[in-house]
Amino acid sequence: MGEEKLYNLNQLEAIASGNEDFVRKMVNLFLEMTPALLERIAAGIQLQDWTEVKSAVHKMKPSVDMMGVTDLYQVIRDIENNAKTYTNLEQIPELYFTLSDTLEQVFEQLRNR
Amino acid sequence: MADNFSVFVVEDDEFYSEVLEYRLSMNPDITVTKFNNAQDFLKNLDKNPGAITLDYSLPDMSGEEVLRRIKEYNSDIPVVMVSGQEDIKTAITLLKDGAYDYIVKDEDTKDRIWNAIKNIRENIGLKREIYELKQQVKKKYDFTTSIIGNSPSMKRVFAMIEKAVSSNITVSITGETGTGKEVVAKSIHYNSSRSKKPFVAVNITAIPAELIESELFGHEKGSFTGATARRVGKFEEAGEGTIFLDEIGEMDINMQSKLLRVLQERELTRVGGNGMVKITCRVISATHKDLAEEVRKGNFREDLYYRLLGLPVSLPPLRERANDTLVLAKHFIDEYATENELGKLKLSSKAQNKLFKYPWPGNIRELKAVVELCCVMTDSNTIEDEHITFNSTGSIDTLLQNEMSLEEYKNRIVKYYLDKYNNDVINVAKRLDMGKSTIYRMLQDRAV
Ligand SMILES: Nc1ncnc2c1ncn2[C@@H]1O[C@H](COP(=O)(O)OP(=O)(O)O)[C@@H](O)[C@H]1O
Ligand SMILES: [Mg+2]
Repeated sequence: MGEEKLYNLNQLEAIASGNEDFVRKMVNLFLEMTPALLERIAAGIQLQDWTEVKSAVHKMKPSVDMMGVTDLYQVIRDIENNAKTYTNLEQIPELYFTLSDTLEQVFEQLRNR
Repeated sequence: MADNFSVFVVEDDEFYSEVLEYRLSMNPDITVTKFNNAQDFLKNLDKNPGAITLDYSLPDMSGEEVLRRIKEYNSDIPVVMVSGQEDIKTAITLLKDGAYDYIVKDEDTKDRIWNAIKNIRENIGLKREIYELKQQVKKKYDFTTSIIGNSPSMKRVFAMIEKAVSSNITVSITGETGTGKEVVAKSIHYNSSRSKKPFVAVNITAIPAELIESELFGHEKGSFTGATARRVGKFEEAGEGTIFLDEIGEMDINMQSKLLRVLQERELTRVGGNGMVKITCRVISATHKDLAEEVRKGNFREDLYYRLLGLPVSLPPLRERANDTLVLAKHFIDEYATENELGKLKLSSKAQNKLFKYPWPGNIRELKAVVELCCVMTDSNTIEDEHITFNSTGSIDTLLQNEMSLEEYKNRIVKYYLDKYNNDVINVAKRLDMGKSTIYRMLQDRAV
């Protein structure tokens, strides 16, 4: 596959210090957890329940950071901050699409890693 | 530390707790147990973990409440609070409530984990440190070395302290401000059979009258506006230790009746609650007032007076302690010089004379402050009489000559007031017209 990798496992590998099982376990956990969180965000946006959006994206943050998805670093923080402060709420759907599109690609890349 | 060290990770974020567990378990001496909610965790608290990392926002209970329960159970377990957001107010509250550290999840993950580890590792050392600190505290309150004085009037005090130490009796301490009432209370506690249990000091003047009851006896959630969570009071916090009721003479008459009832029944009811809680702590009270006189004037309940009297310890003012002024002055000079690495400092004979003649209305607290200022003022290894200034207005110009930063001046001024008013933050905040939380933060940062 020629496409550019959207994730970077350096951090995780640094923590694992050679234990490939641990890396695999965390990648699987990420693949298991994240889709449900994405759904929560989507549902929250639909219901305009910004507290729910904030809390779901907040939960997603540590794992996405750890998986080294740098493209999403700011996106996640923008969603969280907008939802938390009720500002620029109209930008949230757009940001969400970037988030979910990128994550779908990340999932795909991680499964074929 | 060869022993196995158990760490409880209380965290509802599965990803984060996995990482934490893995990273911590790399140290073969550490055993990690994970919990994803407060209930399960609390049920296992009796397994006495060596350290706990605690997520501030758990699904089933607030982090503050969980922390409180841990501390209630065993205040020695280091708790590292892990929170989703930077919130200085929460941080200060948690640290004040006894959290060992406060970590924000928002920072770069790697640092975050590294920090958590570092803190917990330090906590491992801390266990030993706590033990050593306790030994130090014990040594510090070995009254033969911490309460300085050879005068006949102090010898009588020592005899009373000795009696208090070897019994369980209620103690009442009187003496002008700065005569060492609190040091004596602590000495009694830390030398008594209760020394391993908490010493809890409550300064009656530091608490608004309408909050005293809940401060002392605790309250149930929702019992009054602002009671957002259940809270144990100081009596319960003291457990089988000692409660020190400082400035008891300032308690208002209504509260006096409530306190009397509680002391008689040895049982209390939390504000807004109905269950009874047994009281097991020893009570030591103190006042700078002549309580017998207050009773005569009708300001203090006679029955409460007798209930609290127990073994009375009366601390003489410094001016009635013969040569102790100089002994104490030398002691504080040595202490200050050692702490600040100033080398050996001497008092000239004129300086000694000046200290000796002064009446010391603020007693030992004042002596300590005056002497420390001398140590700053002198440029040589001798303190001369002109280095000694007794009232703060006289010394303000000299203080200004130090050319410190405004921040440093602020710290000095706040420290001065805190010392002067017995760490009564509310009073100091009022006098300096500054926010209480600012002072709490300064205390937290150890700036003062
Ligand atoms: N006999 C003593 N020897 C050494 N330090 C003392 C002595 N008495 C009091 N101090 C010190 O003086 C200061 C004031 O004492 P404290 O117990 O707070 O007084 P009080 O409660 O009576 O106002 C404290 O710093 C204390 O450590
Ligand atoms: Mg005092």
